[in-house]
Order: sequence, then C-alpha cells, then structure tokens
Amino acid sequence: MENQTTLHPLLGRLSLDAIPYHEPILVATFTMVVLGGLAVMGAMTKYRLWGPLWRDWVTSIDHKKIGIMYMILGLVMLLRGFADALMMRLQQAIAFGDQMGYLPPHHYDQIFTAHGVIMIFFVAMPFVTGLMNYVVPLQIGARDVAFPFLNNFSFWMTAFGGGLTMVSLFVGEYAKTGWLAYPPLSGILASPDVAWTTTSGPCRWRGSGHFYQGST
Amino acid sequence: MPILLLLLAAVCLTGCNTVVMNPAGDVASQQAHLVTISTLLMLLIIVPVIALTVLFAWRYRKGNTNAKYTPDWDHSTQLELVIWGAPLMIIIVLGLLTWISTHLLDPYRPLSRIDEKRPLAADHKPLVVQVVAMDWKWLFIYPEQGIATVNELVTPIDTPIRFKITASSVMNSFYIPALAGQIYAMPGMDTTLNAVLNKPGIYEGFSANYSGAGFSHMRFKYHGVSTADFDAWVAKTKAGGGNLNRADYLALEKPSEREPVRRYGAVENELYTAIINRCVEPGSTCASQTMADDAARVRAVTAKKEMEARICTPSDTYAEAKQEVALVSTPRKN
Repeated sequence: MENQTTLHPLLGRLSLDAIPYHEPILVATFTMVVLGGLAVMGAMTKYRLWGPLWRDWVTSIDHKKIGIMYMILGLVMLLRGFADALMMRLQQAIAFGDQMGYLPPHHYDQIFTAHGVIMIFFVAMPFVTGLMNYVVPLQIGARDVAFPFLNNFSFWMTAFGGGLTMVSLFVGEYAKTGWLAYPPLSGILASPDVAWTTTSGPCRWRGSGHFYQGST
Repeated sequence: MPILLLLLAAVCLTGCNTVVMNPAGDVASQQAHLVTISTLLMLLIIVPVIALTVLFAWRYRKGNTNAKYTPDWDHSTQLELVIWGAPLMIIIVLGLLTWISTHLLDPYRPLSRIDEKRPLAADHKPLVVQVVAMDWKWLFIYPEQGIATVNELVTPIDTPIRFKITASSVMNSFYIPALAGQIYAMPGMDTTLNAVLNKPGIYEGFSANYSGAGFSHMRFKYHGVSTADFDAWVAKTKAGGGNLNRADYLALEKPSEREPVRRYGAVENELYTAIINRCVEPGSTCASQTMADDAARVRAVTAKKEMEARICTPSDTYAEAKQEVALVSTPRKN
C-alpha cells in the first residue's frame, strides 16, 4: 500500500510509465491510428468539409441526425469490439494444452474486459439509442424530442466517453476484471493500477450521457 | 448444400464437451432434464411462429393472385384465442416447472434421493466438505475426517455430499459440471450445495467466475470413488502427515498459480469458521464477534430508551421497568 502515499494530486497513478511504448502490438496500432487520422483530416481539409461537419452535424439538434450519429458511433466502436473478439477467438484457437498462444494472460484479460464494456456500453446502447432517437419522434408524430439541445449534448457526452475508451488503448492498461467488474476483484487491493480508472471513467461519461438522454 | 452445412456443424460440435447434458450426478441430471424440457416447450411456440412467418410472407406475396385478399378483415375470435391462449398455456406450464424445480433443486435443500430409484431417509447424514476458493487454487477441508486437500476433491459415489463454500479474497464460483450447477464462493460468506455423484470417475472442477490473473489454471480433478476406496484414501491421507494450521493457511492464501495437489493429514479445529469470519490471522476479531457485540449494544440502547419512556409514563412504575430492562439486556448465551 506504500505507493498510495506518493499519488500525484491531479493524475493519481497516471505517469509516463503508463504509456505502453514497449508493447509492439500497441505501438503499431497507434501508428496506424495516427496515420489514418491524419489521412481523414487531410481529406476533410482538401474537400473543405470542416464547416459542413460543424454546422450540419456536430451542432445539429435534429433528432434524426443525432440518431444517425449515434449509429455511426456504434459502428466505429463495433470495429474495436469486433477486433477484440477476433483477437480473443484467435488466442483461444491457438492456446491449448501447453501452448500459451500469442497473448500474455494480462493482455488477454484486458481484451475480454474491453470487449464486454465496449460491446454493451458503446455498441449495443448507441445502436438502440440511435434507433430510438430516429424513430420515436416520428412514431408519436412529434416534431423533435422535448429538449433537442440536451439530446445533442447527451450524444457528445457519449461520444466523448467512446473517445476516452479509445484513448485508454494507448494509455495505461485496461481493467482486468471482466466487464461486470465485481468487487472486491475490481477494488484497490486486487486491481491496484491505472486500469480501472481508464475503464470506469469513460463509462461514467457514457452513463451521464445516457442519463441526459433519458431526460429528453 | 444444407446437408453439407449440417455435416459441418456436426463436425464442429464434436469438439464440444457435452458433460452438462450427460452428467454423472443426480442433481446435474435433473438440471439437464430441465434444460431439455424447457427447450422443447419453447420450441412448441418458436417453430410454428417461424414457419408461419415464412409461409405467410410467401403465400401473401404481391405476385400470388391465388391468395385471398381481404383488406377489410379486422377480427377473428378463433385466431385471438390461439394467439393469446397458446402463449398463456406455455407460460403457465413453464412457470409451474420453474416454481417446482426451483424448490426441488434448491442447492440448500437436503437431498431426498440418491438417484431416480433410490430415495434417501429424511434424517440421513451427508458427507460435509468445506470448500475455500483461494487466489488461485481450491482448498477442500473434510471436517469429519479431519483432513484437507488443495486442488483435489475425492468423494464416495452414491453418498450425499454437503458442500459449504466460501472464498479467501475475491468472488469465484464452484463448478463441477458432472455433479451439479455452479454455486458462488464469496469472501466472508457461506454458501451451500447439496449434491450426489452416481458414477465413479475423474471429473473436471473449476471456477466459473473470473477472479483475476491465475483464473485459467484454477482447476482441480474431482475423483468419484467407491466408499471403500474413499476410506482407504482418507486413511492414506491421514498417514501421509502434514498439518494445516492457521499459519499454513495464511501462507497458502497468498496468490499463486498452477498449484500442485497437496494433502494434509490434519486440520486445525474450526479453521473454516475462522475463514468465513475473516479472523484466521492471530489477534484479528471475528466478524461473528463484531456482529454479536453490535447486537448487544443495540439491545442495551433500546432497553435504555424503553426504560426512560416507561419512567415518564405515570401508569407504570420505575421498579417494574427496571426489572424488565434487566431481563432484556442480559447477554444471550449461544
């Protein structure tokens, strides 16, 4: 417990050591993400799409557009969740008997936790919320939801949570507790690292997003 | 093509271990039976609904001019009866089945039979095995035999067993698919499983609830043997020596993976009680003691309040109230 006394007041356990530059899989992934991101941003600049993106989508309070954005978010997160699933199945196919497979246990544990958390909170829920956002006002014959700005705000809370979850791939470790995160396994004694913070933080953002969503 | 697919599925499924549907214990057999029956009951609804959906979509397609077209149709009592009646019947049957089997297969309920043909007397004495899920191994204590094992469970067949289950640090689930369903193992708590094994053999046991880094190797072999073999095994284990006392337990409790089988010829008294009450460490206070102290404190405070209330009531005398308080605040003898 001695390291608890040396916590940074703002960052807690987060330090430069939490950047996993010694994991080749993650470094390669991060490079691809940066290159891909730069390509998309370059293309958007070239075709002058930043303005329309901001005006027509980011700040839109149209329930249909927000519904579509939820579903796009769900799709993007599905890619990550699905990649996790492929990695898990590959590991299970390779590892039997004395074969250890290609993933060390602590990495596999993080992947299956991330898979559960992402698939439920950032894939299933945005898909359902997106569909509801799109069709429920149409079904009841309303012009929009009751609080359109709050609707937009909820979406961006959720999207920010999704973004944090993505960042957590490259900062520290993900939780190794399974997505149900039962205490005491998820408590400070059994999981004393930055992992649980990088997992529960985004979920809290998502949770508040969902709460506001419910209020609309 | 469909036959090829079926063959492919059959080949893929040969890799599956069907122990849950072909178990060796009476409780697990009844559970497998329950799975089969409820699946069949649900298929009674699912198969006609899916078949009719496809049939209707095909029959009433735009191109089929032979199908009767009745746009003004709006009600049929017969159809309503079928649509509401059939699910209602299924729900009633499934509900009854759930209610009855939940009570009959309650893991805390003492067994009433060894298998379908052999009933048990109501006052039978089961073999007690205390199970402790640890980071990351299983400890089995046999209080009546005074022995203990790590990562090895041996019991006689056709003998009812009462497992008392707890955990040392985090939540696990005690699961021997051949014997019975899984039961959670939780620190500071005591869960129970009554089960019986009917076929001798070596079965797999493991934790069915993820519990951290060493979880994958938290497995043990469960040996179902004849009563004579069990007695011989107990005698051998006793003769083998080794004593599991509190200090050994505290050393064993430390996280470790892939623990080999260990046997202890003797176990310190009341070790399991101390584990549940989280007071194996010398000098620590048992949870049961804390709870008893709290209860006594609450009783005393309540009695004091009652006494004060009585004193202020003119219809009652101080002496009477004091006498009652003396009665109420006497510590209970356990």
